[in-house]
Amino acid sequence: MKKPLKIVLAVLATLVIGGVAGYSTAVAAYESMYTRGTLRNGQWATNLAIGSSEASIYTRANVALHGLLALAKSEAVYYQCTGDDKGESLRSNCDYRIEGRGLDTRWWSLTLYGQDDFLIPNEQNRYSFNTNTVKLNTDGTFVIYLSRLPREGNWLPSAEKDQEVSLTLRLYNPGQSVYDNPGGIELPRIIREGCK
Amino acid sequence: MRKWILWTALATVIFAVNVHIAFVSYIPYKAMDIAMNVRFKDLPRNTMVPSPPTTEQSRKVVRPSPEILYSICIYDVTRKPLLFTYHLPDGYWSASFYADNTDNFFVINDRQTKSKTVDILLVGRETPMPAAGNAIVVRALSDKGLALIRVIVPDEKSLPGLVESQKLTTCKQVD
Repeated sequence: MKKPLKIVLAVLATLVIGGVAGYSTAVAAYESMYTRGTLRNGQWATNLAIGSSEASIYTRANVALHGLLALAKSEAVYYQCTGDDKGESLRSNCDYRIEGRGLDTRWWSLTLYGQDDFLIPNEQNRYSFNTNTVKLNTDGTFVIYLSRLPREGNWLPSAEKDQEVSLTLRLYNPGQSVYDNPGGIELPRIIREGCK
Repeated sequence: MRKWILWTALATVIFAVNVHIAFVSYIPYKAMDIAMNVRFKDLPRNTMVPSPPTTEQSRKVVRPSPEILYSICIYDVTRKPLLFTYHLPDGYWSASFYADNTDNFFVINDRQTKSKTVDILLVGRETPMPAAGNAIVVRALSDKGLALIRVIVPDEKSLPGLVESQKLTTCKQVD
């Protein structure tokens, strides 16, 4: 092969293969919720570097795309959940029971989002439960039902269209136990009851 | 021939690493740019604008919180500082400032303030520090960015009063 042709081929290979490899590994890295600094707590994941200058470039990119304008940990701690307690993806065609109890925080909310990261339309205009709206059992625990069909008690309507869904648990002005042990505090469990 | 392949492979890896880092680093800036200049392009700059209550129709920023009433100010403190005058409602309130790389470089909430009215003076990166009076002075991490107010709506009854209180907060350029 002639030398100029070799050089052209080498440059082309570098640009195409390098470009594709760089781009695809970048997407894979920031789309993974478990980027550097992310903590697991059961099905939930959190990253206390969100919003701060200490966040890694991957955390920052992930938050920019899936949680833009998140608050720094001094104000709020966010937990994300995309799977049930068996590790299966949360899906709108399945029914779930979310069991929890009061959290060490000034105020909390649990919000359901569709695959597009926006609120899911429903006739009840109900997208979440929080400190003020959740009905507690006498022992201070709660159960939230995530399903398409209405349920007694705390019913969070799921999407009519088949899709993966996700939950965000927001803790505003959390207590010290959250900062001390974000991966170990008791968080709601998401139990799948069945799928249609 | 072998040497040629090795050099090409090495160049490809170096190029891939650079593309990887450049792309990941660029996303936060691009996301903020889209938020400020595409999604909120109709909002006047350096003006606090109350947003309507969050619903399924709220699609400007991903993962909005349905219990929070937001007000937004797209700031530009390149030339002059901005004075924010906040009127706090009862209950949870916070004011937060975001740089063009998504960093939340300052936040304050109702429990950290001494009164129901708070002044914050946002100063550009290179701007000389002006006389601030009683205002809390915040040096912006970037000259252009976004300021948010969050107010928790505890129940529907409280909504009209909170919507009214949203309108009281102002931000204006000062010399």
